[in-house]
Amino acid sequence: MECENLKKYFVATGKGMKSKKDVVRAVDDISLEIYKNETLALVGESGCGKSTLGRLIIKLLDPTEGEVYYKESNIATLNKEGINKFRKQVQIIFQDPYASLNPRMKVVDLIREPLRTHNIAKKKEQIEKVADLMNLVGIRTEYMTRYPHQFSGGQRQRIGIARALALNPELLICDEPVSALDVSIQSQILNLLKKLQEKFNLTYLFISHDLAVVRYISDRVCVMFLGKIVEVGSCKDLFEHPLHPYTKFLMSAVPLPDPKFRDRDRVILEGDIPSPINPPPGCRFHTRCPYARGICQQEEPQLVELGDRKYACHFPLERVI
Amino acid sequence: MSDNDVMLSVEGLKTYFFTDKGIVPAVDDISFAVGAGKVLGIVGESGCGKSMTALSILRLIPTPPGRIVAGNILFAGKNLLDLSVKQMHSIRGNEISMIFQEPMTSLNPVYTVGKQVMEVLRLHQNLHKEAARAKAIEMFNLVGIPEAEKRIDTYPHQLSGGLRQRVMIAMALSCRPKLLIADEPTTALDVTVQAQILRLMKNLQDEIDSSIILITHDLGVIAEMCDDVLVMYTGRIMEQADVYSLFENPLHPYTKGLLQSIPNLHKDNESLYNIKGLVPNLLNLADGCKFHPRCEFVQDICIEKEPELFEVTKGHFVRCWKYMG
Repeated sequence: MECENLKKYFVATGKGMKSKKDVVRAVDDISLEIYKNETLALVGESGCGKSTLGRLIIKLLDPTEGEVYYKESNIATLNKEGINKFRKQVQIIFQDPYASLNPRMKVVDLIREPLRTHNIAKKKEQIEKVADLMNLVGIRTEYMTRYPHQFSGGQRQRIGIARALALNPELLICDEPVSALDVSIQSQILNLLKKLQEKFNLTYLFISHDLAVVRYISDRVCVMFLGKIVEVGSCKDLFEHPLHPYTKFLMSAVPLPDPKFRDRDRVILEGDIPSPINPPPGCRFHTRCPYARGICQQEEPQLVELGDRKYACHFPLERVI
Repeated sequence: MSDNDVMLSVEGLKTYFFTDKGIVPAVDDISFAVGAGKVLGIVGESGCGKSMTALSILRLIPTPPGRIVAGNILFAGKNLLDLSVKQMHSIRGNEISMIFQEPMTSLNPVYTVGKQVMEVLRLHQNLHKEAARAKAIEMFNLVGIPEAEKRIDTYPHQLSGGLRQRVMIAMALSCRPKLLIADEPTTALDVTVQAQILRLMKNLQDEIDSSIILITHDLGVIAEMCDDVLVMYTGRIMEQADVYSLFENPLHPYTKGLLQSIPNLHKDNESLYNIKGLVPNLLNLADGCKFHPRCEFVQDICIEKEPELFEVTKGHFVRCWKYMG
């Protein structure tokens, strides 16, 4: 999977008296590859465009500019048949297990729906497949005829995962799959996702704001800020030696579950995330960056490659080797 | 803790909900004390009763179906459960105030934020309009809202999540409360903003010298902020200790499990520990220890009889048969 110079602008139209049109650059010129069998994490704070990017990649949204390639074919130019095939191979799990399951459908129908839509096998075989999937994700098959409201959040997320796996996809987009769950349930789902990846050679695009979760699950990490990539690298390398100041401050903001570290030396970023309607000129992070100098306000840094790392900063943090 | 160091003490509090499906024991016989100038953390997963404990202290339990069926809540020499509705009004927002998780739903969208902060001041401190406005601006500056004079006339939807939470804090602290109850104050915020808000709360606490009850599901926030911690599960306290003992030497299998379930940001994690099973339904609790269906160390006695909260070392309490005799 590859995307090139992907842009998605939303036009926010003022209502009533205010008829000025604002353009929200949710995803602004992003190029990124996802390799087979890896977990690539997209990390960033709210409004950084990570979910929009996920939706562009699976063609739930069409880009304003730029292209998405899946196995070398451009998904924008696929014919109907091609799109059907693409949709079988790429599935998504959503954040909110309460909103993403139709409350009026039974579990068996929810998980079977993709099989029906794509006309795979006869009804009896479909139901067998549903039972297999339920076993796989750890929901007892007796619960097939229950409705979503009879399950807890964690169980619903398992149902969502079963449904996403029904068509044997290759790429799974996980959009904040564990953020709505309790800690003890979160670790169960993370381990389930890891197990399933091994078993079916899945590729994950894992969208999350939780850095500790990302560190646990991903192979490579892409940090986003206001619609731009600020840094990409392998998980360990990026967390141990961040090059972009934003990555470093994002990490130091995470409260650590050990009171011995509470007085650690840490820099807390000031200010709020700027509005994506009028992003600051130059480097979009300069308004909050303690290291910002003159050039940061004028010139937007380009994404630079350094080995298997990429970063967009005029003054990257020194690399400790 | 000697008696005059205690700001609030809760004794044998039980808050039950009487529903069509049965009685839900949301808070079941909990006792604790908050020291003067201390931060007490209450941690637990959804439905463990942490928010209901907070609402019980302020007597904000929706009645019916909820009711405080037993216990005492002692604050400044008074039992809050004996006070009249009117007396309670003069305590809420004045001597004890609360910050909620979602600043958007707890601020009134049709009034400016300034007006809402001034309301508290006019009500509890009898300030007239100009004085209240001046004081509100002072509070906005204190909580780090930039351009306070301008922002005071904005509506909640014009502010970011972080600023709204600062407004909530300004409002909660404007009468210099002796006790601040913060229910998941940073859960809806981004991490960089969360770090700002936590630091702000800590600094203001030093300045105003109030006690805080901090309710959260995030053990990181607990480690960062609290002096003492209660770990709750199914409306009960499972473990109670000072923050250092709890993190260095967690005793209850539930506490241990929780700590091992969080991935570590600064280490490669091979495989995460899992607490098996689900958070139980309060309508349908197991006999014996309420955690036993999910516990690895379960023995026969755990299934038969519920353990008491037992003091293992000084100040470190745990509700588990493993540590009793």
